[in-house]
Amino acid sequence: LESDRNQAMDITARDSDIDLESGVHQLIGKVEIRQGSLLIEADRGEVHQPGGGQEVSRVVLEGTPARLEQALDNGAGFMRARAARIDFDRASNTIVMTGGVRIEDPRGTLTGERVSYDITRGRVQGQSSGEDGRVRFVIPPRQPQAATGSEAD
Amino acid sequence: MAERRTWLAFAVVAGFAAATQWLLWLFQPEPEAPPFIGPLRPEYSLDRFELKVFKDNGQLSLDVNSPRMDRHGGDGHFMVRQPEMVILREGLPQWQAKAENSRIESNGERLELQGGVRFYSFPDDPRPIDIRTEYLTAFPEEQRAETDSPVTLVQGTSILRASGLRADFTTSRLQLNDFQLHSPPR
Repeated sequence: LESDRNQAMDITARDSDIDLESGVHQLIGKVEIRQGSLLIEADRGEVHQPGGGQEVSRVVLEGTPARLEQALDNGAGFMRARAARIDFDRASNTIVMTGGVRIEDPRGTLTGERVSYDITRGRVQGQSSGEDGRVRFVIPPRQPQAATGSEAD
Repeated sequence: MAERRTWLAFAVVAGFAAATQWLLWLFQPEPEAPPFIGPLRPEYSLDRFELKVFKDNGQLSLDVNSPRMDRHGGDGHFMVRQPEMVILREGLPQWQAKAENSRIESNGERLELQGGVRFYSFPDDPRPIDIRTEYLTAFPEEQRAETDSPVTLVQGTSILRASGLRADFTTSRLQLNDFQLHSPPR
């Protein structure tokens, strides 16, 4: 949802190691990030909070795989993604996923090695995939229209 | 006949044993009340107290102000009420601490802070941090602090919560268990 960006961000993890100098938190074990309808789950992560802990500017998550889910605007369903690495830049509200990326939403399924997702505009941009080095986007066949009353008899 | 006599003898002996046990219970001495041990009495107490601890090289490492201090014999520790502390590093003020009570080792190398504990950096610190908990042990000499109690850290606009903390101020690193961070909307 576009409104997600104006929501608070909550991050949890089993353990954390914070470097006060650089403002980088290393997160270890059952990492979860929630911001509005956006939910990202991973095994470990890094939270960047420069400037003496003013704001979280960036979050990098890694998992086997890391998973992301977000509601789409206008009740159009959910976008679900998974990748080896998810890099969420809060400033530009962009998520870059790398490593065996797979994104599914009602419009179809996209796979690639590197995909960037502009949350504000809901735009996805893929880059090189699988064996033949291309991004693959599969659009499911349109469901046949239900036959009208006269034709059905 | 012989069998009846045996049972008769057994009954007599059993009755005799029961009677003896009853008499013992009747006349047993009253249990001694445990000697009354009141609160540990301090060797001496001071009001409006200030404690300054210096390192071997003469540098001030700890400065404590408090309305009341009790000094105890034996290991010579201090029990300090509502302490306000400044912890220094290389002679420069690094941290401040407040609590309802604290116990300070005689050499100032271990501080146990208890009740409404607040451990925080100075306002001009480029990375201000404010740690709050109910119990914290600080080791000024080693520039370390730790707790296994729930802890809240306020850093800038973010609030961190954890179920335990290990802080190493020489490397500016904090290790937190059951980590939660809340970052407000941008």
